[in-house]
Amino acid sequence: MADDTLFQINLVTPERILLSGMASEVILRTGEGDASFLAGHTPLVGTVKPGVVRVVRAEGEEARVAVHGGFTQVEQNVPFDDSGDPDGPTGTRVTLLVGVAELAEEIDADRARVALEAAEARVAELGGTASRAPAEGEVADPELVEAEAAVLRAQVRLEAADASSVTA
Amino acid sequence: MAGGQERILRRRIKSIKSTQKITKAMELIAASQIVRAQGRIAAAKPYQEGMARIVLETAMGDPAAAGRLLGTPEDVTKVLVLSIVADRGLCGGYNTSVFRATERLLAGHAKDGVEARLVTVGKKAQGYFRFRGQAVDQAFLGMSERPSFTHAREVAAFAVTPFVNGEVDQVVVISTRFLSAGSQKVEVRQLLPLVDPRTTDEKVSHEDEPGVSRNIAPHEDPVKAGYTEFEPDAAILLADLAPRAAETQIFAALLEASASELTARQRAMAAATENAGELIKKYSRIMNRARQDTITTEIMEIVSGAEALRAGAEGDEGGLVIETRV
Repeated sequence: MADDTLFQINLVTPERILLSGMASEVILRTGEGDASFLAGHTPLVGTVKPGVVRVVRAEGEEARVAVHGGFTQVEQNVPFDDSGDPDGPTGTRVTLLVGVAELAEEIDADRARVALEAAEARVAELGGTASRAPAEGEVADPELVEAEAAVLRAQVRLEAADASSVTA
Repeated sequence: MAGGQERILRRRIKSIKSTQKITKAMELIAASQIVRAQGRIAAAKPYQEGMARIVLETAMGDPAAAGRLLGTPEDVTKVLVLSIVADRGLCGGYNTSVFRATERLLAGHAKDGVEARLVTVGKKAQGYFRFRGQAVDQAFLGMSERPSFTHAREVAAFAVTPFVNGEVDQVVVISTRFLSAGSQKVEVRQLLPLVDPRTTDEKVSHEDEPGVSRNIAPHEDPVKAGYTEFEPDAAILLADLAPRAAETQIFAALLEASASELTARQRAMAAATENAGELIKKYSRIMNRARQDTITTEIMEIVSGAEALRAGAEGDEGGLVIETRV
């Protein structure tokens, strides 16, 4: 705990805590661009874009998580345990709140690939393009938006899963 | 005559017994599901707490940014009411008490000239409000048994979007809070604008269930305000956050309503099982007496018949020796 290169990481979805523990680095895509958080990072609140979040664990191994958008918060001087001891160890805490997230090892790459194909077919069927900029004055077709979001989700999922199978 | 009555009673007891078996089974099923529902409430807590912390932090960061997203609106002319009940009945007063609270609120708004829209979750609400001619914007079904975050998002699309678009000034939720296994309470809460975390600790106060959040402690004293960075600006961030935070609260409300429903059902079914037991006892007693009466009557008939025959054989002077005292 005394190691000040480590910090607390909590990756939380509405239904459960997906990943929690000590980490030395977190790499993610924020609304302002890719970012890496280390211990002692200045307190921050920001958005998380869909993408792969990489968490370098205290033990050295890397966990990859496909996230589909959310928020992140970095805090300082947070007690590491909830013993309530005011002199207990404190440090940085990084919280990621994401609506949908999957651990790379839980992703079924084949299924994701099938889903990607289906979603791309759906986009094509609706006459959309992969670029997500509706023409001026045109109201985005909710089905198309949904289909494009599905493409993005499948892509992120595949990205997370593929890289993990390479390292594995 | 009496034999017929006995048969009716026997049939009745049998029917009560099979009902009792059903209520007993429903009681046990509800009881086993409560544990799971409670687990889901606990598992969802860290996200809610994290969300509350981020909203607080952002609100502290730029007090001017709050705008219409935080606090209590003063001039409410349009309200959206979200009423959460069960898909099924057989759970005592669970649905009715939410309906009553909803109607009271709607009546109050009608009196004050406030335009109210209604969104409901639960099959029971659909039937109830349709029967009473109350217009329902949108009714969601099939969520109460096992609410997922996807459900919460679907509801939010109809309950939160009108607020974001400025169609309503306030969104309130009427649902049953699961305070503990022994206590649930119907509550009317403001969903949007978000309850200002700077003015109340209400959010934190009921998040302190034991064994829930290992890693995420309730927020600390907000003395450190003012040096947090916001990417993007706090105002933009808050506009992004508010609908998500509302979604989170809808999810929490759905989960708690689901657990409360199961608790109410278990209690109602336990009472029904007990009541059935009492009815069986009562009818068994009546049936036994009826059977005894039949037997007594039959014996009397046989005896008197025999006596009459014997008297007939001995000559007519005896007449009816035995008076039938039936």
